[in-house]
Amino acid sequence: MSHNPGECKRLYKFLIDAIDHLMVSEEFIHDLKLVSEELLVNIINHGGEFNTDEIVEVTLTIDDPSVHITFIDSGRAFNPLDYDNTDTRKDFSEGGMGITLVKSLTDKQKYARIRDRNQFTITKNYI
Amino acid sequence: MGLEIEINTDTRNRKSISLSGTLDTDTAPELQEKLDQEIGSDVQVLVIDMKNLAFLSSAGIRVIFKTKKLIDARQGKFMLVNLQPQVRKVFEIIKVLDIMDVFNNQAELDDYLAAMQNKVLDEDS
Repeated sequence: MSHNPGECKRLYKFLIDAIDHLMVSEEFIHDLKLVSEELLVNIINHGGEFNTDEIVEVTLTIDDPSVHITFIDSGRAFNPLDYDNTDTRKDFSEGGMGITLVKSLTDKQKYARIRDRNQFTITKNYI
Repeated sequence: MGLEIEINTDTRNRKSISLSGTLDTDTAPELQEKLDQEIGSDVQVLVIDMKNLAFLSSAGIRVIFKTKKLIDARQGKFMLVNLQPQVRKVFEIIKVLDIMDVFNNQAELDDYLAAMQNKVLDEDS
């Protein structure tokens, strides 16, 4: 995917097509779309001085009973898990809510910095 | 799915906005622009009806809160009504329902607005 918030629609389609055969609930699909948008936007907003042609790689694997989605980008080192300030945030007009949503709506989250690339994986169980 | 925005002027100083579809990173700027155009300094009461809003992300919440701040700053009232379960869940996760005026349905909201109006009339008389 390119580094462009307008890519969210393409991301949603990719996700829905990939999990279509799992017959999951509407709520599951909704949550997956939401966390994916939040992560993609986080990458774009926090990645630093990006070239707009930079690619964000998104992969989805299914490993019964879980769906794993991995986001890989070559921006500056950024671990979204370090920025959860739900309990102390006072002004919601400033943002910062994305990672709170990701943590609440997924079962596991993992960050790694590998060969100058951020790799963030979420796992959500569908059973 | 995009975002449809319908704005109604209910009374001289009250407007209601109905949102349909998706309020996310792509559509939030559109809502912000519409609000900037339509919510003038004379608006004291603003209702956002989310009956047909199927999806809300943090980008949408930012716009909502920015608008709430604006209305609060003029001692106005900012209200949400008809939150769908998946939208209510998002507000619950970020723990903001306590600081919002949220009504389950139009009847509840109407009762509240009527009570508000009666209070104003009582204070004036």
